[in-house]
This record gives sequence, structure tokens and C-alpha cells, in this order.
Amino acid sequence: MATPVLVNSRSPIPVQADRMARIEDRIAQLDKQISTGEKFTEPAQDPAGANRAAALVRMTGRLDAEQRVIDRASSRLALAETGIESASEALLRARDLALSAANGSMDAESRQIIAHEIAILKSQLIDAANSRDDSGRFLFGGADNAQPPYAADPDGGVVRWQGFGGTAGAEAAGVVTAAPPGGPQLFGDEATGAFALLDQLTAALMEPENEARNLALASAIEGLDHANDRLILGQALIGAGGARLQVESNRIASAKLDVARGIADVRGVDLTAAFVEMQSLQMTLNASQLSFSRLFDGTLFDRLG
Amino acid sequence: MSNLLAIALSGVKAYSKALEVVGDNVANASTPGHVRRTATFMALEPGGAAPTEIDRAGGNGVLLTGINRAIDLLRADSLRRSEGDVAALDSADRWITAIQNSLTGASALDDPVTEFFGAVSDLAADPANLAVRAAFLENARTVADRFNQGAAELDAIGTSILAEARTEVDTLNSFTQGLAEVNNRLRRAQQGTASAAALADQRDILLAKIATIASFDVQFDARGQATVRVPDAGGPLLVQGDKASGARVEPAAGGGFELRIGPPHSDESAPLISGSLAGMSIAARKLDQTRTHHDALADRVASEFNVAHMAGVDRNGNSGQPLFRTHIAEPQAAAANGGNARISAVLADGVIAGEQILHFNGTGWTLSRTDGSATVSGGLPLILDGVTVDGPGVARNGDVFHIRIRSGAVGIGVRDVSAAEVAVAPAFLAEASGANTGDARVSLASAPGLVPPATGPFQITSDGSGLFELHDSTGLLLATGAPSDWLAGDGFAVRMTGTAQAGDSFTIRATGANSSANDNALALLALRDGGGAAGTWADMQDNMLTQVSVPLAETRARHDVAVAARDTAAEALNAASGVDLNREAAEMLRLQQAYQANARIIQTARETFDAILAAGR
Repeated sequence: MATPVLVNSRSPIPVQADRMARIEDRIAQLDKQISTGEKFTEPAQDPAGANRAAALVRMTGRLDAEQRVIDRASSRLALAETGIESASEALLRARDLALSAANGSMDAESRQIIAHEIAILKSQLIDAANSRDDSGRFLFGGADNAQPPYAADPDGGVVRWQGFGGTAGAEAAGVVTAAPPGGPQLFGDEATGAFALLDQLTAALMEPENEARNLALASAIEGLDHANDRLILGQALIGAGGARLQVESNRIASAKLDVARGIADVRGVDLTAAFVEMQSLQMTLNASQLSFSRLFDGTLFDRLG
Repeated sequence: MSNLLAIALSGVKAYSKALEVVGDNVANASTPGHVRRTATFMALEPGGAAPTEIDRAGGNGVLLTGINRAIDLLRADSLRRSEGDVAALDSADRWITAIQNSLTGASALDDPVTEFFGAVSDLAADPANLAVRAAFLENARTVADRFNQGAAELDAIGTSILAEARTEVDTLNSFTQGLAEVNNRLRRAQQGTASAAALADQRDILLAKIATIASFDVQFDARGQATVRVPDAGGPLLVQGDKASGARVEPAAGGGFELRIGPPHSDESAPLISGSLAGMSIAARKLDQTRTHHDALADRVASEFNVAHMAGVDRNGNSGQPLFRTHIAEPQAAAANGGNARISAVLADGVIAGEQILHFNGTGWTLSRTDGSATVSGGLPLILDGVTVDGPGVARNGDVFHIRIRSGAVGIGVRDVSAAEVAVAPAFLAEASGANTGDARVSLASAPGLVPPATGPFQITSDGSGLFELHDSTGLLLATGAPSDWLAGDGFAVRMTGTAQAGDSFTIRATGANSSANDNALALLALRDGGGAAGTWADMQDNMLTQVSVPLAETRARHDVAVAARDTAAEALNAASGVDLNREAAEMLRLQQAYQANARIIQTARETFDAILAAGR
């Protein structure tokens, strides 16, 4: 139960003291605002401001999450680029070897050695196509992470696509073009793609007939050029995706600054106004204390002889 | 001559008594509730002469006829009313602040919900990562925990408000009882005496205290006895003469509290207008409203998230299951229980049971539905409709426990779901043929099986004339349609957008295990910005808080005004009825002079008498 104010319990002295205490409370409140830099510590002090501040804080959290998505997608794109470079190196080396083999002076034993190296390059290409990101997800397998995107038949022959669909990128940050390209887009299909070309090249190297071999080697070299073009296109797509992510990252950084400014505007105390009010209140308090000491300096009883 | 002595003696006596009144005022200058007393005098009528004689006497002296209280009834009433307003706003402020703190303090939802969606976003960026999935589940648990904590805090506030209201009513009853006793003593006290004035002070103190609890109308009879009705002159009688009616407070049907006055079964309801009970009633209504919002938000989070989660596929290739549970069983011991059994109740996963009653008959337990349609008996634990009740302690014959099924913010929780069971991938996936030449894309939606049993994977193909055909792997034609038509597959629906060339095709298949697709995570993330009439989850949060913070700000502003009005009323009453030392000092001088003058007259009379005696010797 609240203690009621009764007659005689509110002589002018405690009433004046209460009023001075209220001024002191306000001064203390201003002091707190100045020291913390925030003009309200609970929603009831400024409901609209608190509402706005909550929305801005949520926006900060959202931007932070989007930045993490972009960082993650950027990392995957960087790893995908490395994988494509490795694949491209394998194809370029295979092309160089095919050109060497097309030289009529090369004997069958040398071609056998080249074929052996082509097999190694094929293995390098499969490894590149089955690259994973730092959390173990296949980079070029699309939506299927159950098995490697590419695997050779048990006899070591045809390399088949085992992935499915598209892969996840930075969609959670509103960017839909920042995922690594799928395997078929980079390595072609089973019949005419990069793996089939290496098989064709190996077969061409084994061809004993010169004219047929040269024709097959020429076809393989042309195919390897196309296969490499696909990888170059893939790198371009990754570059474009990376650039898009960079733009998005810049936007987020700028938005975070704006949001931080907004929070400062909503929550931040106007220091000039606060200092002026505090100065004014201190003057009022001093005057109140002075007049109080004059007004209540004794009663008539003190003057009685 | 002897008459002169008697006259002076009456003056000395009267002014001596009046000086005591001044002394009493000065002594009680800081006693709360002491109303300044004044002494009233009356000249004594001349008398003593025979009927035929001319009475030449100047008079018979002075008589102190009474000690009066300088009370200003209007100002006293005004102070009581403003005090009631302050008390109402003060208690409303305290309790609504507690409600606000429960929404913004340790149980605040803003940060966990933001982080929860951040975790969903991380999940969409790295769908196959088990650590990211585990972090997502932890964030979901934090959201559920915050709901539970908030609900527990709001429940505790509700219990505390009711407890404080009941304590206030107990205090009110003790005051009204005291007032009835004071009335009784006033009836017997002699008017104009110091004891009557002291009783009137006690009466006014009790009235002032009652005013801080509930508003009332008071009438005083000739002897100063108070008749009190709540909340106004038309309301039920609280105190009359030496009788006080009992009051009690109960939760009102429309929210808040109602004050009931009179004996049970013939009591009357009295509206709460001001006083602490009115403030608590306002806060209780605000609490009910906040709980409703809090529960609605929890229900929405659980239901929307569960629906979206169940549309996806987990890492094991299984359909998503509900992520949040929505109900719990909560035992509540009856107030009259005599034993110390501590009953716990557990609701089986996925079960939504009705309320039940657990009863102990001295030898065994009976758990039954409230309508009595099903019952199980025996020793604990007992299981009925998926509710398992158990617990330690010893029950006494007749002990009863109500098993309530609660949902909303109390009931929400994360089910026992592993990281692998988080459904991040969509139910179906599509892949464009490498030979496609158009730029068409497909959209997939989960749907119940709509066609005769078919075998995937499925193929949707453009026939070049603007129509699309959906086939299963056996070549069975499932559906045909134009672009933008949804074609029904077995468990899915598919739509083609963009421009397709003849022969362009897409393969559609159910998502298997270890998928790294993130479509369902994106669907979960879309819940952040989705919303109907109630807006987004964040809108609901903001609305819930605003509906507390705005009334609280208004209450505080009104409180400041009410305090200023109360102070003004207190100063006005004090000026009229309080002790002012300067005034008492002046009064003391005046009475002292009168006293000394009378004493001087006695001295003069004595000297005159002595002179007469000396002349006669």
C-alpha cells in the first residue's frame, strides 16, 4: 500500500525538498544520457524511437548474415576457380601432348608414354571436377552431394556425370548468380565432353595408321580447344559472380554505415541540448536551494525573547 | 469583589487551557494527520440578581466551550481523490514496467529471432554442413527458450499482481474495520473535546489510507461518523456506523480485477476507478493482452516454421518433420491438497491431448479425462492419451491435480531433431537438359500425389507449339499444359517459365540423401519477410512491445501530473488545516497576554479586598 500524504505530513519544507530532488533526478538522467550517449534506456522513454531502433538493429543483424553468405559464396567461387584452373592446365597439357604426337617423327613407344601421361591428366581432370569446398561440399556437383559429380566406369573407361541440378550460392543474400557452374557446363557431356576427348586422344595415340591417327589427333585437338573454351567461359562466369558479390558486399558495407548512422540518430543524445538543459537545471537548483535557506530560516518562536 | 475574582479565575482557566491547545499544536507540528486545533470561548451570561433587581454586574467571565479541528472538508476530499489517482498510476507504472522489462530484458525476443534467421541464412549458404545445421538448431532452441522464459515471467507477474491485489484488499479490510471502530468511539465521544478531535484525526487518516487502495464516497453525520460507499454514492456500502463490509478481489471476466463487497453469495461488484487496485487492474488487463500477443507470436513461429520445414527434405533423404513442438502438459495442484506429492506430466511427442484430472483416493491414483470418457488407475506412473504423470512425494487421500495442456509461448520447444534431420533441401529437384536451346526455367512446388502412381524421374518437355508435356520414366503422360500452367506430377507440381524451344526438356526427381540444395532453407528464410494482416514476425514483436511501451509512457506522464496535483492539494489542505509555527507563536503571545491580564485582575481584586479589610480594622 502506498503511504498517503496526510495533513501536516507535507509541510512546505519536504515539498520544497521533493521539488529540488526532482531537479536533481533530471540532472542525473541527463548525466547518464551524456555518459552513455543514449537518450533512452527503455522503450517507454521513447516508444517510437525504440521501435525504429529495434528495426535498425534487426537490419544490422540481417546485413551481417548477408555478409556471411557473401563471404561463403566468395570462398566457394575462389575454390571453384582454382579447380577450373587445374582442369584447364590438364587440358592445355593434353593439347600440347596431342600436338607433339601429331609430329610424324614420334615413334609408337613415345606415343605410348604420352598416352600414359594423358591417363594421368584424365585423373587430374576428374580430381578437379570433383573439387570440394572447405566444408566438403562438391563444387561442381550441383544439388547432389551424395557422391562425387564425376566417376569413371569400373573399367576406367567412360567418365559419367553423377550430379544433379544447380548448386547453392548466395541466394540468401539476394544474389542468384554467384554459384559455381555445374559440371556439364564446364566439362560437357559424356559423349563429347572433356573426359571423352581425353579418351579419344588416348585412342588416337594408339592408332597405328598414320593418316587415321593424324585425323583423330586433329579432331581431339579441336575438341580440346572447345573444352578449354568451356572452362574459360566457366572462369568468366565465376569472375562475373565474384564481381557481383563484391558489388553486393560494398552495398552491405554502405548500408551498415547508414544503419549505424540511423541508430545513432534515433538513440543518440543531442549533446548540445543536453548540456544546455543540464546547465539551466543546475542554475535553477542553486536558486531553489538559496531561496529555500532564506525562506525557512527559523520561525517566530526564534524571535521571542 | 468575590465576583471579580471568579471572573478573572474563569479567564485564567480558559486561557491556560487554550495555551495547552497551542502547545499541543506545536508538539504535533510534524505529526502526520494532526489537524490544527483551535479553542473556542464563550462569554458567560451575567446572572445571580433577583427578578426585581437591576443586574449591574459586567458579566460572569469566560468559558472555553470546545476544542475544534480546523479541517477543510473540501480540501481533504480533494487530497484523497488526487492521492487515489497517484496510487493508481503508481501501481500501474510499476507493473506495466515489469511487463515491459519481461519483453526487453533477458527474455527479449528481438536478438534471438534475428540470430535465428541469420542461422537460416547460414544454412542456405552452406546447406550440407552439419556444424551449420547444429548451430541453426541451437538458435531455434534459444528462440523457444526465450518464449518459455518470457511466458514464465509474464505468468509470475500475473501471480504477483493478483497476490498484491489480495494483500491490498486485506489491508483495505483492516482499515475499514478500524474505521468502524473509530465510528463507534466517535458516537460515544463528547463533542468538542480533545479526545473527539483525536478520534476524528484517526478517522481521516484511515480514510486517506483507504483512498490509496480504492476510490469511495464518504458522508459524515453530526457526530463525525463516516459512511463509506465504493466507488461513489451509488455504490455498495463499505462502512456504516460500527459495521464494515468485507471486500475481496477477483479476476474479472473481461480482464483485470473486480472488487466485490459484502458477504459471499450476496456481494456486489464495485468498479475500480482509482487507488492502487485500479492501477493493478489496468496492469492485469495489459498483461492479459501481452500474453495473448506473446502466445500468438509463438504459435505463429511454430506453425509457419513447421509447415515450411515439413515441405523440405533432410540430409537422410526423408521428408522434413515438425521442428517445434507446440504443446506441453502442466500439472497444477489443487489448493486444498494436504500431501506433498510433486507431480510432473510429460506429453508424448506429436500428441495433443485434452485436459485431465489426477486424483488420489488414499490407496491409488486415477487419471481421467475431464469429461470422464476415459480413465486409468493404479500406481504412478500413469499414462492416458499420451500424457505420462509421475512424481515423488506422498499424497493424501483426496489430493487432486489438474493436468492442463498449454500451447503458445509456454508450449513451444524444439523437438528432438538431429542436425541431419534439418530439412534444407526441397522435396523435388529439376535439371535442364544440356541440349536445351531456349532460356526456359521450371518452378517446382510440393503437392500431394495428384495422378495415378508414376515412376520418377520425370521429364517435362516442350513440344514446340507452346505446350508442355509431363512424362514419367516409363513414358506415361501425366499432364499437358501451357506455359504458366501448373502441371501436376506425383507429389509435386511443375510450371515452365521463359521461352522454350521445341525439344527443350527438364528432368525432375525426388531429392535423395546428402543433397546440398538450399531451396527449403530459402523458403524458411522467406518467413522473415512474409506475413499477412498481422505483418511479419518482427512486426508482431514490435506491435507487442509498442502496446506496452506507449501506455507506459502515457501512464508516467499522467503520474507526473497527478503527483503535481496531489502536492498542490496537500499544500492547500496544509495551509488550511496544518500547524503553522508562526501562527501558533502569534496565538501563544495573544493567549499569554490574556492569561497575564486575568492574573493581574486577580491580583488587583486581592489588593482591593485587602484595602477594604484594612479600612474595616
